[in-house]
Amino acid sequence: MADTTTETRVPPSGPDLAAIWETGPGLKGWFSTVDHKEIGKRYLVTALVFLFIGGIEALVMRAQLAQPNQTLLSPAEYNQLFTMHGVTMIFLYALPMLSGFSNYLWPLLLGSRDMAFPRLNAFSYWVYLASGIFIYSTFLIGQAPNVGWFNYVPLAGKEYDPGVNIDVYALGLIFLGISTTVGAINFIVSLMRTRAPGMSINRMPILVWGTLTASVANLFAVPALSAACLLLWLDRQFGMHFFDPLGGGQPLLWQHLFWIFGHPWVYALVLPAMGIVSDGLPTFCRRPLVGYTAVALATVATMVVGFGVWVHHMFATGMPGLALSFFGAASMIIAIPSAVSVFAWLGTIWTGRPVFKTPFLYFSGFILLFVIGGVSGFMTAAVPLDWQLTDTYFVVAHLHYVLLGINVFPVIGGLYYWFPKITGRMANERLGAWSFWISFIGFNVAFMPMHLSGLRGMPRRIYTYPDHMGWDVSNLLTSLGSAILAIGLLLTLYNFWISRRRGGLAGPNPWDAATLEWSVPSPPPAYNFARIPIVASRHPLWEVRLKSVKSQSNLNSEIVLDDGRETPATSTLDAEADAVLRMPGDSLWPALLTAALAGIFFGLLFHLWWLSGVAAIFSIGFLAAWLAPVAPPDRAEEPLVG
Amino acid sequence: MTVANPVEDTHPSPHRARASLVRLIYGLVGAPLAWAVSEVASSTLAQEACFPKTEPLASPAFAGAHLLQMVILGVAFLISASAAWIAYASWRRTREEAEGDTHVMLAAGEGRSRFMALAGLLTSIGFFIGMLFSIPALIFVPAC
Repeated sequence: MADTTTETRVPPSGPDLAAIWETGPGLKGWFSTVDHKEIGKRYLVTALVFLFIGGIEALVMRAQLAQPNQTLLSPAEYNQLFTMHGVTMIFLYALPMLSGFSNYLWPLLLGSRDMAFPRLNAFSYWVYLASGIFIYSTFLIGQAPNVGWFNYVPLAGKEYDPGVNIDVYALGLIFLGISTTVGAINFIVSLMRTRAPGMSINRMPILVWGTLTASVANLFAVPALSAACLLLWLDRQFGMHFFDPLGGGQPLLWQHLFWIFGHPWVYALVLPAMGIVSDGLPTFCRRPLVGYTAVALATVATMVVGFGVWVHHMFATGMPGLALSFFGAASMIIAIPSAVSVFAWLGTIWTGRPVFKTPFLYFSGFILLFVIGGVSGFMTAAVPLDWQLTDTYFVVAHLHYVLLGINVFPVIGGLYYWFPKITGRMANERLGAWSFWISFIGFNVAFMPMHLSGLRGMPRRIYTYPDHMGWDVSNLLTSLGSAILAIGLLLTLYNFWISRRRGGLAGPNPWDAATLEWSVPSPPPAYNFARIPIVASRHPLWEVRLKSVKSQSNLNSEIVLDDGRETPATSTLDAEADAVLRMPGDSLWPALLTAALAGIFFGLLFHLWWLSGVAAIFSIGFLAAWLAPVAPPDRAEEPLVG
Repeated sequence: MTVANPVEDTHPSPHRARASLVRLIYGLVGAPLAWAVSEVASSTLAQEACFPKTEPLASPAFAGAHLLQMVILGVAFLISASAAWIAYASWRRTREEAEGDTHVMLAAGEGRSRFMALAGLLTSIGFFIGMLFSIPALIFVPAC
């Protein structure tokens, strides 16, 4: 589309789009679907199940810690519980939940029919599910991971932990890393090639910026964790010495590799969630986001700086002061892009006309929690203070303000926001408001006193504590608050459960929002858009009312693309249409390949080498069948743009 | 059957010929890359100089470490400044790509080339300021 003489193909009337795109019925259809909306919903539901499991683990721990000298749990049980709580929330809930949002929403936000690699998308979900089951497989036999979610050596070495506890952690995270990596590749390519014509990079929603940034980061970060886990597994199984100082290894190598992954991962858990707020909040303020350019830039800058702060998790390891200073400075700098986003949200609320619906409550509550969590993070960027606070409950309070406050609150707000789009029904507003206030109060009652526990010297990861330490009241408050928070979260689940059948009909755009997903019916049809939209601004549905927008998007264009599963391909920067992509249909290969991979990992875990060998042969076979070339349709090719 | 493509009336970047993609990308990534390399190289030098094997040292193992760190930081400053200058030049050429001044650009983001140019300018300035934070460490913090 280099000049105004380009033309767009108008296809003849063809077969019904629904017949082309809908998933087949029955069990085969369920296992073979590649519909991004179905995959997105499965991600959301599975992540919610893991949130529920991780929440129960937290409640049991809080029952143990509610008072001094409790004996509800043994030390060994407590170790497994706090480790599985961390692993579940960090790896199996937080990022997969955001992947669920992005899987469901991306093609709808970008104006396309599907992700760039639909089968890879299905594969990503199946591997996530299988790795989650794998990681929990030893929980019921009492041999779950048990040295914390960051699994430090030498405690995680064979000498101190001879069971399968650490093996399931190492292999499980390698397995999960496959899902994260292929998912990240899919998001990046989808963004680069499948945006609607006209949706240049400066017209993308912030959620897309957030997920793109997280995906690029994951491609660099996840290999560090996978490598670390592989080295640890080799140390444990074959007596290698990567982390063993007696054999010339380095225990700190684990910490470096883990946190080179871990800190960017934390930002991967929050940037898409911040994107949810940046896109949802303006809808309820009746105005565009303040400072779109600055917020998009801040999103990317946060992640860039996020790759340079990993050592702030290692301030107490004895590194030279000058080296610590560089990372301390970087950890303070990261407050700048974060503050840009905060002021943009505040400016949006201040200059808008807020409508106090449930999503708005969650989004605005998140801003407060973000500031509290950010300030405590800024405090621990100061090396001398960090030395005092390392491994105390202050750090636990900080990370919960960050991960619960910046992930869970935007996620629940986002679920309320897009619930009408996903189900076609409105969630109950009264229950929604109650759930917010109960969750918000419970959260702060739980985690604010935790700062005090830490400042009074309470170490993290102790299974009980003696009385007269000054920790009794703050721990009791934390336990009460966590129970209140759980009630608020359960109320949300109850709300969704009843509203999906009894809620009022939503219609296409119940919130009067601005972005493309609200231009299609609720729930959207299998093909998303009957006609591919042509985008001329960042607010396609608000163009008439926004005086600053001079151009007009075309939501009823003549691009139909009904000669099979097709979606337009566009250029990376300016989204100029340049081809028609033929999308693959439903397939059982992703699920079968996942099953074979699970066989490999279970074989490695239990030393059933024959099982791993047989499963590897099946994996290669399934992969070959998946990638086997398919004959193109026997018809004349016609470019989208002539 | 073909029809005129309506998107051509509102191309996202009508002034794309005025600023080359190479210059826009340099403006965007020059300063962050310079900061990242400087950060990793300087901290590695600090660790190798003071903790080369298994025992920490009271003073650096090689005398030139501090000077080398300052040179690295100086080069990073130069790269950031050049990226800022190039981004500013691109911004000057494309600033009228869409209606509205800098404030409108920051708020709305219309005009893809000027969006990239302004983002590059802000990025370069931001990382330049970020690197200033390393100067007190080099001056006041003992090497080992």
